[in-house]
Amino acid sequence: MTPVDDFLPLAPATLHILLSLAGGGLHGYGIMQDVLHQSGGKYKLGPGTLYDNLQRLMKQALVEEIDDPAGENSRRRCYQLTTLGRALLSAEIARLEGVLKHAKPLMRAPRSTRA
Amino acid sequence: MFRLLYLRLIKLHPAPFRQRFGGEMIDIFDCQADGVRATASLLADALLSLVRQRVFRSEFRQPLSIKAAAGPLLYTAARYTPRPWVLLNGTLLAGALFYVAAAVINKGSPVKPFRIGAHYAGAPTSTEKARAQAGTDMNSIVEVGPPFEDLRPVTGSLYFKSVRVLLALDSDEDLVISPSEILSAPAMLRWLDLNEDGSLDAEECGLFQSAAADRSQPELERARIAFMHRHPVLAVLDSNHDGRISESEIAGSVAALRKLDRNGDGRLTLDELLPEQAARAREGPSGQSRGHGIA
Repeated sequence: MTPVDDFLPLAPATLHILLSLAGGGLHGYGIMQDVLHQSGGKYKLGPGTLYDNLQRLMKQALVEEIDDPAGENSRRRCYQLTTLGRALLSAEIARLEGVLKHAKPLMRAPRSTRA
Repeated sequence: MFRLLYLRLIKLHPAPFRQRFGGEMIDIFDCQADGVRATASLLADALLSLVRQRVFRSEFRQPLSIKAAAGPLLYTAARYTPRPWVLLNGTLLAGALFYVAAAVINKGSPVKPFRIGAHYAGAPTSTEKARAQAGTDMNSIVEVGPPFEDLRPVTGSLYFKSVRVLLALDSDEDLVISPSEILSAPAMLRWLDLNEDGSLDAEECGLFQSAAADRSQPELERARIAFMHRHPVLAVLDSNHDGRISESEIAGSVAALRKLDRNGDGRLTLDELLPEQAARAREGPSGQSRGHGIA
């Protein structure tokens, strides 16, 4: 059992936040916009939920704070995945792939009866 | 206004969270609060965040750190011990102050104590009980303060309302049956005769029987007679003690009411009308009842 297994499976908000940070450092508002884009506008993350998750992810050393690369707004802080965070995201994606692999045949030919 | 509310909600978050993320949350609110729906959604999100932080995120709250390594929390201003005679003076002064305070508390109050109850040793009910209680029974008197004279009008008002005859007689509602009110008693009593049978039964005099349907007729009759006997004014009006104030008793009500006027001032006051006051007056100033427990 690897250290990341303790965190699996991820909650939807956590998964979306980690996914949005997979492409590089983002500030809070950027994460919210990216999550909205990922979900096709169906999942709108509020700032309270976002920062509550970020606080927890930083405590778990999955996300870390970095200086704003653009340096536009000193009040905005940027966040990026740590190595552990990236490993966790990979593990979660692998887990989801396994679920999909199992689910697809079932969805194509559903069983007629179940015990 | 909504921004102010949002700021208030952020301010209610735990300090570590607020200091770290509050500014960014307000920035996002300023960017996104462009309509009623969006604003309401942001406010709801902040409220949920507040609940989450206060209820579920106690582990992120930083405890107050006391730097033990920096030194002791308390320091003494001077490093000396008082001399023995100073300690003796302080002890004597403290003792004197304590004595004065105790004396003021004990004797300085203008309120005189009064007796609210007494317990007298009663006869034992059985040999075993007597053995068990041997040496433990107490004769005690509880004395605490002056009588509550101010409560008498309140008690009297409630009493007059409970006895309908008194309510009818006291036409000026001063809790005193004046000579003129005594003279008009027959007319006022006839006014209470709701069933117009010429006499007043206990219910017409003010008896309220709850769940009367569940009680047998003899029980109801006993309750009526007890009610008529319990209240001095009804007891004198019902001179033959049959539980009703008959037509002839109504006609003779003036003379009957005057029997209650013990001090002969021509009017009936609470002292003469309240059951316990009347009983005390009958016993006289030296009357003292004996009983068990708090009287």
